[in-house]
Amino acid sequence: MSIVDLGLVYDVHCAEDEVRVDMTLTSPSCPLGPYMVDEATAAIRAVLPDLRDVRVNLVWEPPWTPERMSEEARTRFGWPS
Amino acid sequence: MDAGTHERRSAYALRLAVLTVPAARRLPPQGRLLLLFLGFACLVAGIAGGLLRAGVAQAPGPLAPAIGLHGVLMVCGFLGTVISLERAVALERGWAYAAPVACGAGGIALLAQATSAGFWLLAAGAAVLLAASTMLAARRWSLESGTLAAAAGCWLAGNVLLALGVPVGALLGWWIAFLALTIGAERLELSRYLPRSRAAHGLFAAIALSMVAAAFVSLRLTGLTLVALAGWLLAYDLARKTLFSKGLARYIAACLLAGYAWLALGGVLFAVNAAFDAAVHAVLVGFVFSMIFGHAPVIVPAVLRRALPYTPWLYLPLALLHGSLAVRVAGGLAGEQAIRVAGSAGNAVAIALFVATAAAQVIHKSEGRSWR
Repeated sequence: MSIVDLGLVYDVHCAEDEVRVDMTLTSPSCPLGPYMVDEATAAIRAVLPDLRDVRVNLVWEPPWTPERMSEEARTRFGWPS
Repeated sequence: MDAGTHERRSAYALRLAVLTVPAARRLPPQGRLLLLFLGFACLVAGIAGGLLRAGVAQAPGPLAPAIGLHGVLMVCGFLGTVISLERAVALERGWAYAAPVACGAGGIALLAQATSAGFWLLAAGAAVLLAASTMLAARRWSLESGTLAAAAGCWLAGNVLLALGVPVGALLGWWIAFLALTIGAERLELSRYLPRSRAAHGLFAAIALSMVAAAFVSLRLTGLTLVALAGWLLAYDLARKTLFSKGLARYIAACLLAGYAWLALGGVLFAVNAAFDAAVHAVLVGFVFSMIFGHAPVIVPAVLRRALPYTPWLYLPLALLHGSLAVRVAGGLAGEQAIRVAGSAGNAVAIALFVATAAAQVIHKSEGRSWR
């Protein structure tokens, strides 16, 4: 299950030589936040090494809700379709 | 991308409260590792103190002060340092790292027999954790973030009482509330991936409030709230689903569900005021350390920026932890000191084995990788 399936990625902005991602976590108290930002940045750079700028922002508004999960994720976790 | 799409996305971005963290606010992983070592020094001393007190070993030498400080070193020196370090990493503010520094230094001061300074350092560490938790709750209020702040408040209350001379036995309800609510809140948040009724949400809030109130009253009442929390976690935790997956997810679920069973048993023993050693260690070893075993592969990369890859070998210390705790609790319930002590020694070996297994995984799998 990816962070996209879990609805944690809010927005991806692609320009010619830069990528900006807005993502969230279910909780601001989670210590994984900075780690996930670094991992996401590294993953983008691995695929697109020539980018001038990669920015992954951790955002808290709007708050994450279960409705943001993909249909596949919701089914897996037992949500009614 | 056309201009319209770009504009819409820019407008959307403006609605977002963006948190950007300057690198200066991040303590480098090497610095975090040093703080972790402070906590581990308290863990080693705390376990040694417990074993010496149980009579497993003699001639303590420099560790003599640890005999009477076993609980303080384990709960405040080790767990307090680790939890407040984790919270500081989440907040990413330099001042928040004062909490693990104060807790670790407090534990070391206690071992150096600077008792009063040590106790007040622990209280200061709890105060900083409360401030950090409150700031996180303000970032986005939720039942989970509020519960984490309440848990830190309970720890502060317990540590101030300790510094004022209240015996550990009389403040244990505050420390247990700190640990149980911290873990409960983290599981509550992760369980948001599952369908959950408003009633379940309200029930968790009622249990958390009752646990705080019980800390004012008695350990027996705390025991009842622990049973209620265990029931809630068993009913609603994501682990019920992930137990049927594989690899790390299944391992974590096994740690969690076994921990909840111990939490329930410890709560019952507190509620009926029986077998104090069994009750305390069912909660603090069976529940809390099982959580640590389960969450380490997730938290270690977050704190140290080094992977702790899953290996089935992690089940070995887990099985030893729960098996030896069963022996310990059975010995305590039967009044058989020798069996209880053997179980205690098994607990210590299980923790040492887990640390060794985890460290080997981190070192082996990170060879050639630099700190990030």
